[in-house]
Amino acid sequence: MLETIQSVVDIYKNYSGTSVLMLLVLIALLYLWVTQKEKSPLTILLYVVTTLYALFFIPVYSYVVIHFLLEEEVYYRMLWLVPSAMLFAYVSVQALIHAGSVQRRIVTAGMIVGIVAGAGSMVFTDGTYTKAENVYHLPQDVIDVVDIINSGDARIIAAFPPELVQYVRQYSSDITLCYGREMLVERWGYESPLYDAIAAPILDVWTIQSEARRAYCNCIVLDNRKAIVGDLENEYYLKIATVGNYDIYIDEQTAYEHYNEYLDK
Amino acid sequence: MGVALLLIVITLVPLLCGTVIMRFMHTQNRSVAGMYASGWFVMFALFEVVAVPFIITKRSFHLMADVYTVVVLLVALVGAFFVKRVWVSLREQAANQEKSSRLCKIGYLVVGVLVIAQMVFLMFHQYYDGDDAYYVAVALDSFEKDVMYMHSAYTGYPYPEVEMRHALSPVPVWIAWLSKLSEIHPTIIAHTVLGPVFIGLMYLIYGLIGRRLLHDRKNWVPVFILFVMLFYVFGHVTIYTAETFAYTRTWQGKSMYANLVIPMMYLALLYVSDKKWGLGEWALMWVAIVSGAFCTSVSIFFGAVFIVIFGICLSFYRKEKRDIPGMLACLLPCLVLGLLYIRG
Repeated sequence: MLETIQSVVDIYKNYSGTSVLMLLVLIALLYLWVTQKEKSPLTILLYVVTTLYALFFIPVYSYVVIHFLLEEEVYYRMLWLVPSAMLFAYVSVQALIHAGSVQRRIVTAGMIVGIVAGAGSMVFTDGTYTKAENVYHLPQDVIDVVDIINSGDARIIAAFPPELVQYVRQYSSDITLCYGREMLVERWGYESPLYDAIAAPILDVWTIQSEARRAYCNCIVLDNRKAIVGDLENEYYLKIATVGNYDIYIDEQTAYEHYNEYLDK
Repeated sequence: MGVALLLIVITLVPLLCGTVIMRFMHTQNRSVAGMYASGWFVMFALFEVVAVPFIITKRSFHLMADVYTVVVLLVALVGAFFVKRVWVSLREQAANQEKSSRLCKIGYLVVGVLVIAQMVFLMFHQYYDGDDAYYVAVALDSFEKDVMYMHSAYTGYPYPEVEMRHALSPVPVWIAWLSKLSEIHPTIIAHTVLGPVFIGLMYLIYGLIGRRLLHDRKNWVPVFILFVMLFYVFGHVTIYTAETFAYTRTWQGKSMYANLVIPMMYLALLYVSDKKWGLGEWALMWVAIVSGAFCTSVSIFFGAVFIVIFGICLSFYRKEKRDIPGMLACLLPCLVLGLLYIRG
């Protein structure tokens, strides 16, 4: 039980971070409790929100939920049930209404904006987004590589470098992957010798081809910026194209049957 | 043609579906914005009801999609039947209400400009999220391979069984349905269309909440929405907050739950808790709860917790027997889906 209490506190800390934004929500909730005198739908909302908030921290509840109903990893979503933005906005409006004169309202609004801007992190300017490369919002390299692979009309089982693997099947479900995004999340504990060989800083051709054959992989995409020991073309994988920093190799038989136009080039 | 159909599905269809709920709501809670917003939830809830049996019995995607299209069209038709009556009551209500101040109108204009600016920004900017490798890939697999949850999203290898945790919350399959109608790639639908559309829908729901909370000071509603926006835009303090999910994973079920469904649950709570309410208010709560399950399986549990707590609080606040069927109706889908989840 003590362990669960500690976990819940950690989950809350991870959720709110070092910002005081969630503290503002608590202050808003407290303010409403103090000022809300008459019975109204808002009173019920306050009861519900406060109970849900309290429930999150109640050890017996969190123990049962974490151990028997949900995973600890998703318990933080209980905090989504507290309508933070709504409470904050409503109390902010009340503060403006009670401020009285126009000048006071402007100062109050300025203070509120200043506090939130200072305490928070603006989603549009903190490097979260990049300009979209295409209408799919996927890396253009992935689209170019997959278009070439799909042009052969062959049944392809492919191995991609780590930085591309999670996007391939968002663009085309015609390609089967020897390994997928599960390899990128260490805590999930998946293993693939082929992934290890392709993700390594120095590419060892002999290991890559032997692991690829074992996984029935007939297409290998390699990062051509990496140092490479050996030549895949000597191991019966033919390079059919280069797209930016990526070389596309196809198993010899598949290449001759489906990608002749590229081999001719 | 495809784009036109998509536009109809994200504008006219929710409006008509929402009319079915609005028709049974008290006149004071009716509005065009409410019609449009609730219509989305009718569509979500219908999809949960229609799609889950098809998914767990391993039927084809196209069959399910065709049945869902017919069901949605039927509900929209029923909505069209009610439009005139609801419209008349809305006009009567508007005539009786005092006019908004000039400042309030300017406030709405500012809100509109800011929301549209964000929608345009999201249309032309990208954020790579790892979980898309699952959700978007499932949508694409359903669309291109005509199967639902029968392949590993990450690799494409066949699954021996449907994974119940995901199958009960079929947002990706719903995205595939939009793709089937519009013939637009599911990844474009998710990233470039639904991302911006859901941001607009989220602020619309908050606008409705503002109208309800500030019903005696309606001129302050735009200010309320601006403060909500302030909190959302600066709420990216950790990767876990609802605000972070709103702007980075808008099209994913869990973000839809945090930022569309939960606000809608609170809106329904405010409507139901009022003295003036009809069958439509509880129907709105019902579609919100079922939409939660449509979005993410954790909501099956959270939805039940919410309804139980709300029910207890409501019974202290007012003792009305007619609340009981509403509460039980909202709890029922959580129980049924919960059993499926446990069995799966």
